[in-house]
Amino acid sequence: MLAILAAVASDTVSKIAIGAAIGRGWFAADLAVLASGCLAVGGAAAWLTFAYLAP
Amino acid sequence: MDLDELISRLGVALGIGLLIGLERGWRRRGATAGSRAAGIRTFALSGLLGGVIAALALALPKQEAVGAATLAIVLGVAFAAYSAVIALFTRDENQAAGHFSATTAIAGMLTFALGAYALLGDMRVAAGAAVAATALLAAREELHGWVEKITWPELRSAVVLLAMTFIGLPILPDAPLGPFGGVNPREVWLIAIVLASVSFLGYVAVKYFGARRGLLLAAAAGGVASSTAVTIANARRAATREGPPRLLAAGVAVASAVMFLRVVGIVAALKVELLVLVAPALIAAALTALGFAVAWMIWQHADRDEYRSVKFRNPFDLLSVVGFAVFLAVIIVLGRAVGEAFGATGAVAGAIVVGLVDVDAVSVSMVRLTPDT
Repeated sequence: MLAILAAVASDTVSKIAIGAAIGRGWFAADLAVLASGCLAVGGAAAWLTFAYLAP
Repeated sequence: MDLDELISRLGVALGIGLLIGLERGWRRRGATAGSRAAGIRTFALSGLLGGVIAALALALPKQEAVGAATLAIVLGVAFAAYSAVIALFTRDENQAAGHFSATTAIAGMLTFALGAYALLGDMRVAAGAAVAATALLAAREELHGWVEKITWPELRSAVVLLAMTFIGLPILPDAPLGPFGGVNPREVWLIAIVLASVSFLGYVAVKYFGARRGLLLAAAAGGVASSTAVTIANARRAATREGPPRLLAAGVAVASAVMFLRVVGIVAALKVELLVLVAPALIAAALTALGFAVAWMIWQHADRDEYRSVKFRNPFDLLSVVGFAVFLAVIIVLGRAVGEAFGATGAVAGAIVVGLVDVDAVSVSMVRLTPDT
């Protein structure tokens, strides 16, 4: 389960790298904001889930 | 074949002729009586004729050894005679109307053949083929318009994509080569096909649905296959200034949301008890990505001229697509190597590396590795 979330997080981070390496400029900046936002919200949701629902 | 079956098969043969004849007759409905080579009645009779000839050939007394040959000869001679008649009349019609077209002759020959097949073979296949033929005939203007609009780069890219799929893919070895589980050349090629398809899909969607709707539709559809492929395609478009960066980023946000939901779907399908732990984070991330997409779309909407500037020059570039596929395959092998090198904790480390490229493979393998509770 942790591996799945880690893989999804890593895929999300890879979008920052792709944006910076290929897209550059505003596109790269937007992808960095997108990935950071998704990681922050998803991470918070995961933390709450593990804190209150994990066995 | 009993009488009921014979009648129903002949009915299908007649129906095939009526269906194709309806389209042919409708298309020439403005023509004066007697100026057409074939209309609805001729096509209906052609289908029935094919069925009757096949029934006659079946009914002929024959010996076991020459039965199939007799059937083939009777059908072949009848088909040749019918083809000659319909071709002659079509030629006369063409001469009288002053145009060149073999469509009516070919449609007549097909009607006859399908009528015969309805009697001898699978009626459902014959009826399905008749519907497909009628749809093709009815889509004349759309197909001609589409062929006129298609450009050389589009045609070339479509042919390359088809060649990659139907020639390249089957001939590549389907076995891993090299260390750490190796690289499967067919899997690498499949990644290249996905990258090319996603890029091609984006091009076609923008062309036919417009910049805004096209990009988002293509991103959503591409995200089902690979959000990484959508990101790479959109990044290339952004780098070559083929579209507004924010609109292309909104496409990546949509593809990311689809990817998050896709993983939820995989977990739900393979191990539903894990869903309660995995889904909240993924659904929250998906909603966030969709929020960004909507916000960026509204932002873009303020400047409509920016949408009109979207101009994709090429559906995809083969060399860069293959290059990326090889690069992504190397990362996958690296992920496997990391997984093996770190033992028990290697699963997460390997997943992080492989996840850079392929979330689905990690999700499926990890869900399967999780013991049943």
